[in-house]
Amino acid sequence: MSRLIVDGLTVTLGTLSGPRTVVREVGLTLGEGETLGLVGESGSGKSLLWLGVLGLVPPGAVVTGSARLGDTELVGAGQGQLADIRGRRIAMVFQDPMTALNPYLTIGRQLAEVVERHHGADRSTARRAALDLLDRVGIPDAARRIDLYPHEFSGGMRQRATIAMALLGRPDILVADEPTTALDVTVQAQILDLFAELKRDGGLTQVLISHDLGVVAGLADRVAVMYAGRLVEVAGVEDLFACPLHPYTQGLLAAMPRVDRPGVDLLATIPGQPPDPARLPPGCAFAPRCLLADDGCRHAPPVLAPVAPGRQVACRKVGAP
Amino acid sequence: MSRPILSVRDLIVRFDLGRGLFGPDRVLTAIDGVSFDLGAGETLGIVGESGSGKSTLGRAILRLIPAEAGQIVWLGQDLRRLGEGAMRPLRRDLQIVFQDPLAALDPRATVFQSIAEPLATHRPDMTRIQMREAVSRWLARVGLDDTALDRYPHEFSGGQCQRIGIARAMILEPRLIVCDEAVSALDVSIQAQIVNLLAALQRETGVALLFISHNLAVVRHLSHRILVLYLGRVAEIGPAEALFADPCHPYTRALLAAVPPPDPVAARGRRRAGLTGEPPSPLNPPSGCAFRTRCPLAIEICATTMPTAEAIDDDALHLAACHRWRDRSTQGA
Repeated sequence: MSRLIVDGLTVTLGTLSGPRTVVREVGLTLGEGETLGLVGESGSGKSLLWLGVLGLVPPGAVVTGSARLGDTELVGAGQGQLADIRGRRIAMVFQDPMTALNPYLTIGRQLAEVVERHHGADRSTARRAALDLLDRVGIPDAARRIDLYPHEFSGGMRQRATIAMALLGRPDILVADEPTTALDVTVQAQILDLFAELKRDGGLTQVLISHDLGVVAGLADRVAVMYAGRLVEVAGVEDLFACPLHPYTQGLLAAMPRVDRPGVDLLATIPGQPPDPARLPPGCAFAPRCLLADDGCRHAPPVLAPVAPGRQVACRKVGAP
Repeated sequence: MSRPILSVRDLIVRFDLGRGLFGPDRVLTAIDGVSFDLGAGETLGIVGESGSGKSTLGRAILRLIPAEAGQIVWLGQDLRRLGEGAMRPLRRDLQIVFQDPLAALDPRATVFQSIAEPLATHRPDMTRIQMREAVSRWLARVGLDDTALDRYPHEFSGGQCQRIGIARAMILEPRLIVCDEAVSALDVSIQAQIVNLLAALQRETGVALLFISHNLAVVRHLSHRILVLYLGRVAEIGPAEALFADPCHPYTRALLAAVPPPDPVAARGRRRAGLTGEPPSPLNPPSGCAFRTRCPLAIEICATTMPTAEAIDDDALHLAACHRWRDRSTQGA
């Protein structure tokens, strides 16, 4: 049973230099209790895909296609309905916890507000719920810290607090956008353990957006790879890391220096750089950097197609007999 | 290592934060007695969490910020004893590349002006035509071409700006470059290009690198030796592979264990965090060993006595500042 079905989702931003399509015809399903890793480099559209699903795109942007959560269509839904869904059914955690928290309110007050807003609880019930969650996300001495302000929290504790805030609405799906990118590696490890616990104990469905393949490897069940606004590969996590099929995925994995292996002389590189979304080539967006590309690749963009059970790849050079 | 080109001894950097609202003067010790050597053509990776002092260390060595005590011996001269006038000719040998290449370049200067600026300062003998040729040569060497010469930084991507920053640092053919998180803001595919470029430039010119980074994978890949900083002190220093194969300080072990490997099989079921909590404030460091408040091996002596660096191997290349480094097999972290 699928909880969220995204189909043909396209996000076009209105910029000063005209409309710019940053997410193109993305289709994916999110199963109950699964963790989907979404990887891609800056500008690949991995964050805007989810902002599009949740109706959080900047003014002037246009979202088309479909994102169905159970029986509810999110694309084109009114802001009132979306506000109700955000937090209560799909919650999002961002990279920089300081911008997600109100500096003028204590941690406890802003968490309690979420409970009051979504569940109509009274103040003392809401505070108890907030305290429970701060405890659960591993804030030490939560009973005292609940009355502190965000600036009195360390970076790691702030991110724990925003995760607690996201969980307060008891959402079905948690979308975490680069949740550990701003944190030190020892603190990142603690937050990743927390996500693993939420999955194991609570069965929470999670989307983990990251540029770091290491972060995704340990938590995701399936991984989707984005390049220039499109999904280029979707696969089970072990398949993807053991046997990447799309040339971009292969290049990305090969370009990573490995912390778990001695250094090599030369890292594999992907030549060139990601394309400007305003000037995408007519064919496969990766073709200008791809060693396998031929005239056919430069002509029309490839379609994301199944190549094996649970595996999809958008490349004309893969899966052809 | 042959004779070091740089020997740092007992370096101390303090920042006076001024008076608190009611309290006495607050002084932050950012670097607290750091010593190490760097050989010609060598890369020393400097790792540690934010607040460990790694950027401060790099800047203090270049005398971009003043050190309070200790020695920075560069080719036999203690830089701390030199006046700005005596320091100036040495600066052509000592360069730096920053994390945010766009912020490090003057937005109103063309690429030619940015890269040629060190030449204008240090090589007044060069004609404009010679400068143009030198800039063009270095542009080609970092993977850009002459069409870049008269353009402005905002017209380039992050990776291209970092190439420009590297050309600017290399143009005087320095003997040391401090790379301060030089590839941290770049995407993986671009990061690999820049890492390879730095390694190639080092092979060709013999430039030594102080490679400051929070990214342990990049540091392992690029470094000959690695220095682990914790709260302004050296926790461990040693040859890169020895440090990864046999990390002797519990902080090094925790740091290495915390990095998620890009390998779902190895990552499965593994608890990541070896450490609880976050580094203590450098304004109020713990007594004794700075790491003891998070250390699974801490005992009484760790609270009373600051550990000194002890040699792990016979050649004293691998050092750890831990009272319990011999008990390292007892910790699972």
